[in-house]
Amino acid sequence: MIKNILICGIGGQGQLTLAKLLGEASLRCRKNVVIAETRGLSQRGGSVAVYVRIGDEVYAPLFEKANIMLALELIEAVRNIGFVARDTLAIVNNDIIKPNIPSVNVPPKEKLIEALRKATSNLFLVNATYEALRIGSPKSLNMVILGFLTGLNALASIGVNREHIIQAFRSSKYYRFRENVEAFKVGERLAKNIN
Amino acid sequence: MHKLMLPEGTKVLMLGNEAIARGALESGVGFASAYPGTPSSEIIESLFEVAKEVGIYVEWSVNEKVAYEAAYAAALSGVRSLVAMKHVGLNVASDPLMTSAYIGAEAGFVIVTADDPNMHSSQNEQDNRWYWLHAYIPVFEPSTPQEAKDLTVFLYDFSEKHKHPVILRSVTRISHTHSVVTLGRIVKPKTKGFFVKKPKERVAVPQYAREMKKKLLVKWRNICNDIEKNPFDKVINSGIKNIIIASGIGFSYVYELLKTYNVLDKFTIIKLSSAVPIPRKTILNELNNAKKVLIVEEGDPVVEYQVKAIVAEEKIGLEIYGKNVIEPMGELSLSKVAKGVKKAFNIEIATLAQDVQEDVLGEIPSRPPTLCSGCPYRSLYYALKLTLAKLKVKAVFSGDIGCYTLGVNRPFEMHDIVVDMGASIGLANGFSHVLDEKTLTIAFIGDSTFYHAGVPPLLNAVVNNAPFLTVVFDNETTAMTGFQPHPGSDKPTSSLNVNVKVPIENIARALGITETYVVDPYNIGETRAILERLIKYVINKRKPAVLIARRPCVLYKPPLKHGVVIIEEAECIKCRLCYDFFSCPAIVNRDDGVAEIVKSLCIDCGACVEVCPTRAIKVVRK
Repeated sequence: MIKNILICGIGGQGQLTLAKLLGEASLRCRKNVVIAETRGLSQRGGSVAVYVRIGDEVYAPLFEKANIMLALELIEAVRNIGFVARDTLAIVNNDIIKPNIPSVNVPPKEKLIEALRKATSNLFLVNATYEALRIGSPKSLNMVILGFLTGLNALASIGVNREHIIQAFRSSKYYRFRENVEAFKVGERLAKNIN
Repeated sequence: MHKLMLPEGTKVLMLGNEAIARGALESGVGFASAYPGTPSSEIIESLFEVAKEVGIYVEWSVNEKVAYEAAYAAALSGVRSLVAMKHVGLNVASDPLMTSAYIGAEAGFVIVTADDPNMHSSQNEQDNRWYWLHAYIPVFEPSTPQEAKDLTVFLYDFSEKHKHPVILRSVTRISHTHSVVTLGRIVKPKTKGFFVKKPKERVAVPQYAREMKKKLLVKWRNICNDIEKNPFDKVINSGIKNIIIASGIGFSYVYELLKTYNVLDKFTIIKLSSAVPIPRKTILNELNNAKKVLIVEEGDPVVEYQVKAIVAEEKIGLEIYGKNVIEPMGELSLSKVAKGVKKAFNIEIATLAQDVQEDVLGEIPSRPPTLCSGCPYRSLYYALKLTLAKLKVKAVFSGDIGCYTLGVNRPFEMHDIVVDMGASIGLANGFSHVLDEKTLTIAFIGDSTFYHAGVPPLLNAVVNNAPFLTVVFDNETTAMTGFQPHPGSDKPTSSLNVNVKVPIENIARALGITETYVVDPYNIGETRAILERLIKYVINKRKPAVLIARRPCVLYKPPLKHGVVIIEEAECIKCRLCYDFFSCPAIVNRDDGVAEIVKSLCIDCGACVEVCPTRAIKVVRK
């Protein structure tokens, strides 16, 4: 079995970090993992998608259908709706960042959420930006999302458990920042409050 | 411990580029050089980080040609060397590339080209495997990061055996893919060599070069024979009438697809890492009994043309499919390959169709990359736009390659042409002579790009009196590719760890451009004043002038904070200047037109303060 995880958002929101921590967690339980990244020019505030594949046998770096979507921004979640199937677990940061184009028209939030609800029956909106700002570290919003995913124990079906993710997080440089740890915990708590 | 230094046998999550770097260490590489470029930069970046510990020489050269020549000299002196670049970088280095094939190498010499299909971060998607045709240099391509490492090790031996350069062609989805790599043993590097003088084999003057070419043709035949033994080429299920030849990353897609749909046993799969030359005998052996063959490769039909040549020469009757069923543009994907397999072999493979809700996507605004919050380039564009408007000067903006290319987008729309590195000044040498005198030519070039290819065209402008303004966007680092040092930055450019700075203004003045000024673009008023002076100078005196706008990239060195940036709602007159004309991502408009700071994006740099006519934007102490 392979889990295809699409991490999307805006360049600079920390998609690569999220992907790397998931990769390290998977390596800890001897899974194969392939992460196709976006670097360079496209990282500068543009749409970014990172493809993470975890399983016993993984070859191709790209995929067409995601089992899990981690979206760090609402417009970007909808932009990648083609990857979402009825049973895709979509964890979406409940925040809109306007594209940096003068007089840009952005669809209303309700419409974006409605489109996501139509695509999957498994949608979770997380106030990650809000929580990260409350902690005083807007950059930690990716850790709220990672915490949320961990709180749902969403990778357990392929053997990647909470402990693996936490071990990977602890041995990374990101753990050194108190705000990241706090953001991760907030994310976990939000997920547990749902169940 | 650095990831690149972990012991033999360790399984580690590695970027394809890091895997290539590790492969070089496992081959005892002693010299490595590059000019940064996506998607190749992390090869030298990671080698740079461990250079001292391993005791090897690593440098960021000023451009790919110099990087190539430096690494080549090491290989000629018996030191194994590596040179890395993005695909278009090899164009810059193509001059030494061609003749190095005539001369050959003493120690292993691996040229890494990281191609960028789909142009994620490039001006074109050229397939560098074609270089073989021109240069008589074999090209190899890996299918995974693990193979990228192992193939690198093999290539050092192969190169040394044939005393010939070799090209390792990576692509974005290898170079920028993390996956699990099992490490081999790091070999003690040889870092000092000896140059044997043998002019008949080393000095490419006509009387010697003709002999060299004769030998090169013999060498190429030997390489064609030896390629049959490449352990990274494999035949799976030999003898089936339907064949798929999958080169490089193409194999990863083909193998997973056939496995997923349980049809692996219906095909003979020829997996290639030898992209050029392909192993003729091995392939011929399978083609002789086959009915159909499909070639899967990322990029142009490079393997396909070679297969077609074999089929034509051997007069084999068989159907050949390739780019006629798999679109040559962009990257491969599972569904793209699935469609190709379906069409070529008429078999049922469910394609992974995407049922996208078109009505939703129709409304989604695109999100191109943009200058970051607080980027000094934004202030510079803003100041220039105002200055040109004030002076009522029409201008042609000759652009270049770097973050500042994003000036092509709204609101600035100040890039009229982009071709290649350094072309801004090169093209300005022509524009300024042929456009009418009322049209000002302005060349935009970044700091790293200036050092890379901006100096010769600027010299050309001086000696030929080309009247244009060069504006250097100097953020003291090679920002777009990940902050690599260059001759103007305050970090050493090589593992020798000495920092010699050559500021751009010194070069411009040394070239004889008396009107050379340096400004801080955050100071919009002063920048406008100097721009005005220089524009008038170029128009009236018909001579070149240079403005260097210097302030560090905010991602590289965040600006000092003097407080928190706020917008006083009552003082905002909804003039739209800050969000529609200055356009920092951290300033947006509310529905009623009042400007608002996006807290999660604002870096409190205060660059926007000067933009507000009523000073409603303020920096307040926390």
